Amino acid sequence: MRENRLLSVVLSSAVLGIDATLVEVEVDISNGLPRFNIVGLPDTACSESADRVSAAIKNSGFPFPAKRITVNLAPADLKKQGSAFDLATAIGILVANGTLVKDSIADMVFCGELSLDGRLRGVSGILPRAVWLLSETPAKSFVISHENAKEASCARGLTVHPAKTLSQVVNFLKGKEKLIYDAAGVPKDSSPKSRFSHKYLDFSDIKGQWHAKRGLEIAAAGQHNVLLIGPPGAGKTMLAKRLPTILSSITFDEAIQTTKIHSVAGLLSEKSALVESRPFRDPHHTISNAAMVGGGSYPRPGEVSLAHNGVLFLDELAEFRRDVLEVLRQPLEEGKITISRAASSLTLPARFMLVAAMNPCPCGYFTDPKKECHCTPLQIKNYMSKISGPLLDRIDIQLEVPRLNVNEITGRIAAEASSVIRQRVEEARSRQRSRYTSEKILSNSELEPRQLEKYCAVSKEGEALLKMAIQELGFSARAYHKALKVARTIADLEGCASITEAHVSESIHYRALDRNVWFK
Amino acid sequence: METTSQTLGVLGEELAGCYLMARGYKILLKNYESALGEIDLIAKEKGALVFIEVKTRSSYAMGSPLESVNFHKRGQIVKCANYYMKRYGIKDVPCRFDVVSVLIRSGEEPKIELIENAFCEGE
Repeated sequence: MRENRLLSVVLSSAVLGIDATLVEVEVDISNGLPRFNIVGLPDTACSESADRVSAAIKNSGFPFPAKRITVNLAPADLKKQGSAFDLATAIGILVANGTLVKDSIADMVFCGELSLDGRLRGVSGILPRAVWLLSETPAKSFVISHENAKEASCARGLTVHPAKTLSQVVNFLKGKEKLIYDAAGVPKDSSPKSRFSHKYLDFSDIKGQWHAKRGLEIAAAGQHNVLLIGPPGAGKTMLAKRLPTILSSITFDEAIQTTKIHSVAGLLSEKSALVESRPFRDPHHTISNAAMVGGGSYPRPGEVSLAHNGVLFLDELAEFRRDVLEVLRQPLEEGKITISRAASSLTLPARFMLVAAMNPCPCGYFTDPKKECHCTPLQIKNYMSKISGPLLDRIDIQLEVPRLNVNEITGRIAAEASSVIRQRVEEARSRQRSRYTSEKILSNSELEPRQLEKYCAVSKEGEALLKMAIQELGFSARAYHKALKVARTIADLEGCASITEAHVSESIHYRALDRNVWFK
Repeated sequence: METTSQTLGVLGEELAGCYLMARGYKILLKNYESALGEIDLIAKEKGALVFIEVKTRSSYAMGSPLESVNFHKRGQIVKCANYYMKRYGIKDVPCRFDVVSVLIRSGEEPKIELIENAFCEGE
């Protein structure tokens, strides 16, 4: 190496899907016509980094070399996105320049965006990087913007150095200043997660609809998919919006998984560094295919992944584009989604509880005893056929939400509060968790056919009832399995070890569309 | 006295040359011309080779002199500088591009402004 050639290597990290990988930022400074060049497949935000870095260095009061600067983001074949390499690039230049010594950056990984005046801005996807860093090279510490500090320290055990400006980082590397994050505000493993609480939403707001509420309680207890069918104004949307208030609290591991996805999607704010309650996503029915499952030439998570460990609510199910509904099949079955693009293929977790609401016909009043329906049989058939059989088959609980009668609307019968229902849900959930400790699942809805035999023993009478359902109602094999799982959850809510006839009959009752109440 | 734009330019370059020499620049060449373009001044300062573009104006009516060193002009200077270095086999020397703006208004002292390291190659 020639003497006047200055080279430095700084560690940083890039996000791939929801996992991170190491990126080495190499900086070479040589004589010649001045030029600042970034190579290693950077995208636009990444190559614009040159302007931000040079301005930030000058404005922080450090010398910026009027030389030929080449920055390589290695591995060079991996596409680099975003502004997270700004800090590493600036540090690399300062090391190559002699402002900093090489040894001072040996055990550090840098991630952050620089503003023109030298302030350090937060970037998205910090938690995936922190988790990766902790598992791969726990000895290294993580230098980031103070905006990301809380998020990064959710990966406990990792040393985090948050800074507000580039000069703070330089002083820290020179040993003149300490950057320590006070992790007092970070959620702990054991501490109870703040549950979804909403000032104005509670199940006691809804009068009547006992049947539907019971159905939602069972769904929440076993993480079953639900379809609510009924005329307009019956309370389908109201019921669904209140579902998060009875969901069991999210565990720390689940929260980390969900937060990783939200972090990559850039949905986290400085305050909400960890997703502390189960996500509730309700996309509008005009949503595109890519927005639903994720996509883009650099694949980004879609609604199904953002709802991971939570609820995906599709209001007016029949209004969604058919292809958008059909792509839900893989995630509903496997709890993950594989997005394949020319550039790369990616598998993202997508284990969510599907809650859908719809009318029984275009005008909405088909099942209404009071109001007349104007739809022709063909219209109704076409409307219902928008939702394919395979999709319906994957919905465990199909609930009718009928119009309320006069007494129910004006009556003053107090309904159960969400907190009471949630108590029962939590108990049923903890029974499932302790039963499935040896398996890799958490709830009844995740049971595999092989596990059904082991965990869903049904009484003789119940068995007979199920056989009859298969013959008389034309249950598919999957519908049979779903009915069994729901029966298991009903038994769990009651605290019964075995499944009885009563549990089975209630569970069959929740397959309204298989029972074909509509078209007979 | 009325000055044509050409004599204004020559006057500006003279003034800029004096100004730079006073600041410790050693002027090597004036009005270096090649097939690729022209460089007003080539100088040495503290071991670095400096390519200097001088812009002279008699008023701000057409904007600041500095604004006229646009993308096209910069590209021309870079190309010409590259040619100069290849032509004379200059390698491994720190280089930079400076811009000097000279404002000559009748009846006023000329105003000279120097911008060191004004731009980079490929910018």
